[in-house]
Amino acid sequence: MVSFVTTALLLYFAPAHSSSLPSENFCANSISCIHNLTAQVDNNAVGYFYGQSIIPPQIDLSAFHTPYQVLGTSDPTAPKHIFVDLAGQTLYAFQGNNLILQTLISSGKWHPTPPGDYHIWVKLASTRMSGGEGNDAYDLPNVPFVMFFSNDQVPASAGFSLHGAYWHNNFGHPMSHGCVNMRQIDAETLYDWADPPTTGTTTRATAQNPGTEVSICTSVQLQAGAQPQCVE
Amino acid sequence: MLPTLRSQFSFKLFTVLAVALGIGIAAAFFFYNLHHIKAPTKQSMPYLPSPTPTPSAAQPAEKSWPSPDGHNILIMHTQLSSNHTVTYVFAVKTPDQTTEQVIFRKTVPSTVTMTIPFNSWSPDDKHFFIQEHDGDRIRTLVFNASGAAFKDGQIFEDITDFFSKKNSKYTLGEVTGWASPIYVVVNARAADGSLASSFWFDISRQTFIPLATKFE
Repeated sequence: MVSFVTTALLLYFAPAHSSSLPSENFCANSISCIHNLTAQVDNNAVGYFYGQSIIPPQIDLSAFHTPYQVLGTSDPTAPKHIFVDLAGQTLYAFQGNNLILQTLISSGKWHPTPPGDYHIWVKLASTRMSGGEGNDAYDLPNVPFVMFFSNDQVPASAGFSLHGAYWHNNFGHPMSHGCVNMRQIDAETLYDWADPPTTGTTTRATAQNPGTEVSICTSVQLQAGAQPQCVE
Repeated sequence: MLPTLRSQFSFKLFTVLAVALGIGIAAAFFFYNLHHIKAPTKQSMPYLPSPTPTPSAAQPAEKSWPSPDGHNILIMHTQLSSNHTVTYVFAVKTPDQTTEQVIFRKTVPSTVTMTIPFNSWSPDDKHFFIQEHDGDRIRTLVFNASGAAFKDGQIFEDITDFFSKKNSKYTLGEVTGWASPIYVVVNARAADGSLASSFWFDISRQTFIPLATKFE
């Protein structure tokens, strides 16, 4: 009786987000995972998502250049921070206390996007993502503007990322296997702005050039003139 | 009996005094309000967001919405007429084009509004949908971005109308976006308003595919 009550209390008071942490060896894209950490383009491939064939966008990696930064130029030294509101399916990008980008996203439907504070550890101009099974199987070449993030509890091997999505346009509603999907134009804007500063088609964070902080929040409370309150 | 000189003088004096009093009261009222306009109270003003363009007969309003890849733009022109109707014109263009291709035009009562939702464009830029709001009723209309008619010869597909004809069990709730280049995500509501089921509307076949997953 005592152990039952104790167990019930422990479960009741357990941190809310711990139940959404991925299990050990989990990878958001169960097949492709993070096996290739250099930019990859497959212009002749046909994608596959939820039973539908998808023609991926044609990408020319040689045309990628060090981006012209259009966001945050008014206060370039202020710290950057990305907030993802899972309840509102909205992404907010702040530089200092200035909101510089707000847009709808699609977070995890077939696996939840785990709340927590992360940092971007690598940016890829394009990669291939595949996983799922049965009706849920998918294979998506040329996923653009990919920003992988991780922390001590959700390691890089779990393969969660922010990225553009060309196979659906249902933002504002969960649609992914754990990643944060964005419109391609929004992903490109965020990719060009987020740290580490883009140096090529593959850009890794270092101690000298750390990645931008990404907070995945159960909900976000905006505050005038300040960064929002993130409820994890 | 003729009025005496004395009574005439009294009457004139009274009239002058009454007029002067009236002028004085009016002047006092005028300067009182003038002072308040120049020196408003120090209470805080409510935050007013930047106003959205208000259509007028002289200056039509315009809203532009890019496709998710930025390769195309859907434009909505709005013009209010003096007879309380609003004309909406929907056109498409690419960012480097100056000319627009008009796809659809409709004049509605001023109580009806038309909008471009966030997820208007299909992922392949070949289609888009707009919405017409009339009180609680929302119609969702799908168009070919080329302006071409659908296989039934119609310039648009009315998802709301199709759903009501093919599904008597539920009512159409929300049309949220595109699950693929040809599937529109549709949520159906039960009589109590709860989410009953989600469907994909296949724009090529004009059919609804029931889903095991709810896209809320």
